[in-house]
Amino acid sequence: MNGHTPGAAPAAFAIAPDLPDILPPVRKRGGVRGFVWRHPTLSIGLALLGSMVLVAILAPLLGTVDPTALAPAKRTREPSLEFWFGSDAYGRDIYSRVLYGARISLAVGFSVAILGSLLGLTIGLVSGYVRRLDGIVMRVMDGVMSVPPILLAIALMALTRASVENVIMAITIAEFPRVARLVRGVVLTLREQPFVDAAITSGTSTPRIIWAHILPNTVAPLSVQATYICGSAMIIESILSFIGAGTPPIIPSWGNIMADGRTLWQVKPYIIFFPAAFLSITVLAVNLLGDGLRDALDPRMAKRL
Amino acid sequence: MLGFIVRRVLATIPVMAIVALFVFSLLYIAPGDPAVVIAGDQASLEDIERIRTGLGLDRPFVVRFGEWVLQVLRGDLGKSMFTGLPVTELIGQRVEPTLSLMVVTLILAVTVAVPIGVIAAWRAGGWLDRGFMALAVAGFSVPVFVVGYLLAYVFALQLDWLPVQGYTPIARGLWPWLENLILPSIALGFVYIALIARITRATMLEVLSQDYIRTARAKGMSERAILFLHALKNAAVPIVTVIGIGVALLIGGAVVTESVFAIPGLGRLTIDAIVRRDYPVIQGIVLMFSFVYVLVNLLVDLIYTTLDPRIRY
Repeated sequence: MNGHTPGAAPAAFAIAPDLPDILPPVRKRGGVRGFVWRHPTLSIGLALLGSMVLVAILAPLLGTVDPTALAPAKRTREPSLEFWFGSDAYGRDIYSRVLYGARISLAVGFSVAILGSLLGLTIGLVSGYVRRLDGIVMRVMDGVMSVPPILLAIALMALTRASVENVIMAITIAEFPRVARLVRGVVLTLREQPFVDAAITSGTSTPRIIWAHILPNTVAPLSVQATYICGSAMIIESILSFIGAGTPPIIPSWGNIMADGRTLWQVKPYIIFFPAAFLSITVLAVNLLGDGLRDALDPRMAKRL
Repeated sequence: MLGFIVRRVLATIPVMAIVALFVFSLLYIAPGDPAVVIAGDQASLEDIERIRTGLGLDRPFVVRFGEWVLQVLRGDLGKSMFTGLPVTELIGQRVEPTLSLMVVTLILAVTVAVPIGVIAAWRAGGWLDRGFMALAVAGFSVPVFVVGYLLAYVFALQLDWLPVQGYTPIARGLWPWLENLILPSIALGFVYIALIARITRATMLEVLSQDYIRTARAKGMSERAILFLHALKNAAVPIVTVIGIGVALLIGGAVVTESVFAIPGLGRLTIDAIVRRDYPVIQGIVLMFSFVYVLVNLLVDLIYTTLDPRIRY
């Protein structure tokens, strides 16, 4: 009721307040810069992870030598021009080992994230949609989740031969129940949504409802969860290798390089330092990516966490 | 209330049964035939068969599982394939260092993480909040043994403030015991602190936006009383839940931390058992830790009702 021109018009016909001729433009940046501006965490994570993937792929071109080549005469050299990150107790070049190690870590992280998500998604969908199976499946998941993941992976690795594939399998088994839990929760809430009721009423078949209505809505939480699993898998892989239950010692994985440096760490800390730094940065990149994805996909969560 | 406790305790039975089945299958499918191992190199096929029948290894899976469960319920986890000692005895010898490490870490983590989370929520968006949350992301990203080596290098090797490695039993005095546990606890607690601080902050933010907090402010209550008396109490349930869930991190991390700091606990026992493929020991450790984990989370559920009287079952 506070007209701009008192007395000029009755209050009931109050004129809209004068707007400035030119509204300040809504700052909307396009392209890459706009994306980085809107999602800084996601961008940093992507950039870091991207460079690590490049390092892994281009490892042979980045001035590396054979990561398994022994040079007994050049054992435990400090970082120098010849050995950028030093050499280990067998004279192997740590720089080359660390760069090639990125391949193992990323392969394990990505494989577990993908396999775990697919397995968890399938079980979560079935459990959330088939009520008769729900109780049994979820009790089994509870049982698997009652074993601390690292311990479960250790136990599974004790049963099998040390190999990268077996490490991936063991960590996947330890991680997928959490995905199943998450997907089931999402499915249970979605089932009560009006648009699913509408689909059922209009005679849509169950597989079609799952495919067209349920599945697309699980993508957002699932992809966030998958990044966290990827980070956690890389950490578990390094722990397994570090305590001697992971990838075979001959393979230059970051955990193995650190395990090699374990006995010498008080005098030659650089053997552990470089793989540790690479591992931490990579996991950090994946976690930033996850946080960024979560914020971008669910702005309500972004405010809370 | 009593009804709820009974129901909640009964609900853990199927979970424990599945864990037991899982752990038993582990030994069942483990490579290597115990009968062959016991019989030795000179044994004939008949000897091996006789030993197998004698040990009852030829009977069906279900029968053996049933017997094993009865055996475990009597407190018998079998014998180590390497030393021949009962697994329970081996675990008993190593339990003190691991338990000490986990309890000290738990206390440290909760006393550090909860105030951090409360302050971060109170100053949400500020530089203190940003700093703490950046640290939390780092906590999730840096593996426990990396933190361990870093701490040991700086505070033990360079500054010489604390012992580098080892463990002193609590019977030899409180300080010598604690002195050896400070660095390992910080290393092990890093992820745990990050986890608890994040949840505390998230829950506190939600609670702080409630009407009764505004009322408390309006009537002139001090900020500290609002945060720690009104808000924290109402945020307690999710925080306690995550403390319980996080015990899994402690258990897994303890194995690695012990290896970094040369603590002769269950972690060392686990690693030795893996190297020697001593399946009964691995089985016993997994079963025991899982049981502890289930028990802790059962306890957490029971604590809910005291923390939040609104929860009725």
